[in-house]
Amino acid sequence: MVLEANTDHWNKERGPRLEKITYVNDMDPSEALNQVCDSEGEIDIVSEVSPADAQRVIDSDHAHLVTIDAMRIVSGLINRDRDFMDDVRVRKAPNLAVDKARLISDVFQGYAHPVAAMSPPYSGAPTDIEPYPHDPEEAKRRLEEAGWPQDRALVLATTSDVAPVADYLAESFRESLGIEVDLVSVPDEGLAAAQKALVEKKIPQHFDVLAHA
Amino acid sequence: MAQPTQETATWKPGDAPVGEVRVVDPHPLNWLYVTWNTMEEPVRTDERGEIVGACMEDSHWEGSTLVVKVRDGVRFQDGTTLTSASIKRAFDEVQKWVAPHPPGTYLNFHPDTAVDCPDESTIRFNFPEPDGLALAKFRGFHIASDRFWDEGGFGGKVYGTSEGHW
Repeated sequence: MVLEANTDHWNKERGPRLEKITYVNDMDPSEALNQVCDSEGEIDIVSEVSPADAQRVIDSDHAHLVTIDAMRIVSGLINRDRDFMDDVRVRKAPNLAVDKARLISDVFQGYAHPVAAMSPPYSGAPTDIEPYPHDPEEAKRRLEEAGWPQDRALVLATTSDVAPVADYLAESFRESLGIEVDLVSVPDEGLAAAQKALVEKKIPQHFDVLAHA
Repeated sequence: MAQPTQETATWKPGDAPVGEVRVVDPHPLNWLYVTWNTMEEPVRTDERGEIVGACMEDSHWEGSTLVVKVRDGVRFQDGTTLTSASIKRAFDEVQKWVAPHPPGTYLNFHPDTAVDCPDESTIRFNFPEPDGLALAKFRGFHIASDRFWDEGGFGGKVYGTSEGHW
């Protein structure tokens, strides 16, 4: 896709500064990373560099790593229509079960920070609340208090882009809460339909928690 | 290893655009960032998240009716002029959808909203009830030329509906 500058745009303060932007989105992202790290000219910008690839960019002679405060917030969307999930004690349990500091250091290689709400820090996020602490004992206590059956597995759904996060969450839930977790992946080819069903509030949705960004 | 030095280009408003940038953007919302930076909306948000007028120059409320003054001199990429009729067409096209916005239906306008254009510079949104989020909703209300809608819009011509083809 090629975007050409609209030189007649009413707002001269905004530009346009560039004559042309060419999106080469049919190039495989790993090939794009090769191009930007190992050559000059073919590709100028690659977005969505994974934390695992960050050091490679830093070590490159050609590329420059730019980190920004992301617009994406990775969260666990809780489905209150499922059995037990309408109980606030049950909803707090998975929040308390996850060591967010380790999630950030191990899964995101440090390229993330915790938030206490769905607003990014630069966009009006509340400053007087803190994320839930990591407290596995309290998490387990709340779940037991709410009567969560031992043979009831928690269904954790995920999209492919946050699959490593979901793996970490599943491990945390099993370890901290002492329950089984069924990990379900939304296939990429079904993502648009799943998003549509979600925003149209088509129920029932068959997950307890959806790892989502 | 030392990182390459970033060069700072000197640019000032009114300068001619220069150069080409080639991008690979695998972000699942890449279409959204392109949309936000190529289409007109009644308002934009500044770096602090405050709403500022874009193709809407001004607005005021008359009861539950939002009266919008359209900015003069706004032209689309194809050279046609953005008028109140352009905004009404965008409204009519998107109002057909159940859920036009991936974040959720809270960004929808009320289905019983009626829109009229007394002249090319004025459009009135007659909401059946007050809508305190109306100006914020305007940020995601994309205004396009007739050519955009006639040649496919957001996928509607190809798929029969634009829903689910974000």
